[in-house]
Amino acid sequence: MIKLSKIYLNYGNNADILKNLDLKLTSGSFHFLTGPSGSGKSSLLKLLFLGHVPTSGKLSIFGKDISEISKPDLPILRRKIGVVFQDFRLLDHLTVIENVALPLQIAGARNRDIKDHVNELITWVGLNDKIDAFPNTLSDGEKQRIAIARAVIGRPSLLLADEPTGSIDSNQGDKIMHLFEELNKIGTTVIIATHDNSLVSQFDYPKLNLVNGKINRNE
Amino acid sequence: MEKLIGMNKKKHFKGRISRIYSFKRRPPFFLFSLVTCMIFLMSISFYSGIYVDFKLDILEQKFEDSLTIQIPGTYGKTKKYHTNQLTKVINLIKQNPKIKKFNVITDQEAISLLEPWVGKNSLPKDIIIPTIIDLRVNKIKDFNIIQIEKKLKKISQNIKIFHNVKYIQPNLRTIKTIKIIVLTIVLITLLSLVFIIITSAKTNISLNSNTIEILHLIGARKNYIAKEFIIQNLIMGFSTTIIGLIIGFLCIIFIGSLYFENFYIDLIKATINLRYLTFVLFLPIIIPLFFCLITYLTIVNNLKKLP
Repeated sequence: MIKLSKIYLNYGNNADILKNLDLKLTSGSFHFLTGPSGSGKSSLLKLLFLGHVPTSGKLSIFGKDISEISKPDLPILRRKIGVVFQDFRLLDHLTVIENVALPLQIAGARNRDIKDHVNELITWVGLNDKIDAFPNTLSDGEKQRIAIARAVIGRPSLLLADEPTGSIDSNQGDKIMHLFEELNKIGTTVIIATHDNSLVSQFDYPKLNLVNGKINRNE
Repeated sequence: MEKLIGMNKKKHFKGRISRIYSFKRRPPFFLFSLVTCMIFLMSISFYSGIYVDFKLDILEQKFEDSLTIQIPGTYGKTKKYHTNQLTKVINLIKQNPKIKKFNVITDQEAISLLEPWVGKNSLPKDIIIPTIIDLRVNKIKDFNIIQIEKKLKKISQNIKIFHNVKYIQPNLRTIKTIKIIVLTIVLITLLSLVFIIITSAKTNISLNSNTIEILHLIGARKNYIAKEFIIQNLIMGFSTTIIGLIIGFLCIIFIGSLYFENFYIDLIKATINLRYLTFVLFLPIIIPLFFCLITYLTIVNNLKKLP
């Protein structure tokens, strides 16, 4: 489902962030992506959510080589990928409910369906009292929960989360991880990038340890 | 999703989730005021331009469609002979339907005109003062001067007819120069406005590049992203044009009224002229559309840079 072969990535400053990376992840798997700061975790996620193209190598997602996908088809592919950004990347001029509803609106869902899903998800992440609040009035933890709600609302086939529990308390963190597991059970491939070893040790999922742009698998 | 996360079905949000967010993302005030100021300046120069054009046209028309008939005071002839000639000329004028109106300059007026040269009360009482008749025709192009000149010559060989425009030939060149200068100023402000619109639309988009990137990453198509900004810039273009034109109009009325009588009536008359009215009415349509075009092209260009 996700296949990286001989992937190199650099941002034009000659230093390769990812070097000769080979990786194959099956559909419906759950992985932790670990590694020290600057090891390339976020860059790898960026490649996977099509936020950057590899400098060289072949990247296939959902069985499709991304270099062969036409530009008009890329948005359709992106809609199947849910991303929790480390810096949340919420739209400041939209309220909580509008931020969460955005992926469904972009996908052209009906208003009634959007409202049902958004209400349930916002209640679930515990922010139903802040539906009309703007992101700049929320704490980092609240922003993170909104970012997670936005990432999962479209029921993505691939969920990529960059430090998803970094700004929330352990209770909320457990809830979020439970949600990711539930999504995984119905077939969503989940990759969580984190350097929180305590979080990784709580679960028995395979770990992809990224060091100096190369992956060591720890099953 | 509800089965997936097994949550309660209590609904908290009853309102409508907006599909268009352009109204929420107001353009920065400095861009709004910049465009308004430029439209204001453009409208000031435009209204001044059409006022000057209107007034110069009237002046030009005044000379263009007017003629002068001179009946000289023939030496050795009596006053009765002169009056007889004048009556014949007036009858000839009255018979011509293309002459709108005429005005016979009285002896007193003629004497007062001669005063600077000959002095006051210095003319002999029995002298016959030449008579001047000022003619106005509907359209000089449709008026046959040669034909009337022939008829006048039949009354007397000494009667002459002149087209008044020849007296203001040097002034006509000045009028043309003023018109060109005014047109140049209007064109310069228009070009500056075009430049400001391009810059404002591009700045507004570059200030929102983060929004564009997020929308792009969560799967929004080019047209979805463009729509948001096009609506926003459409509103900005329309409102700034209306505000700029109105403030410009009020301002020019205020300034003009300080120096000229009935300025606002003349300005309204000038604006009602079809070509200018078309420009004023189309401006609130053309500027927002131009804004939209620049917005669309900028977004397409920005999206090309994204993977």
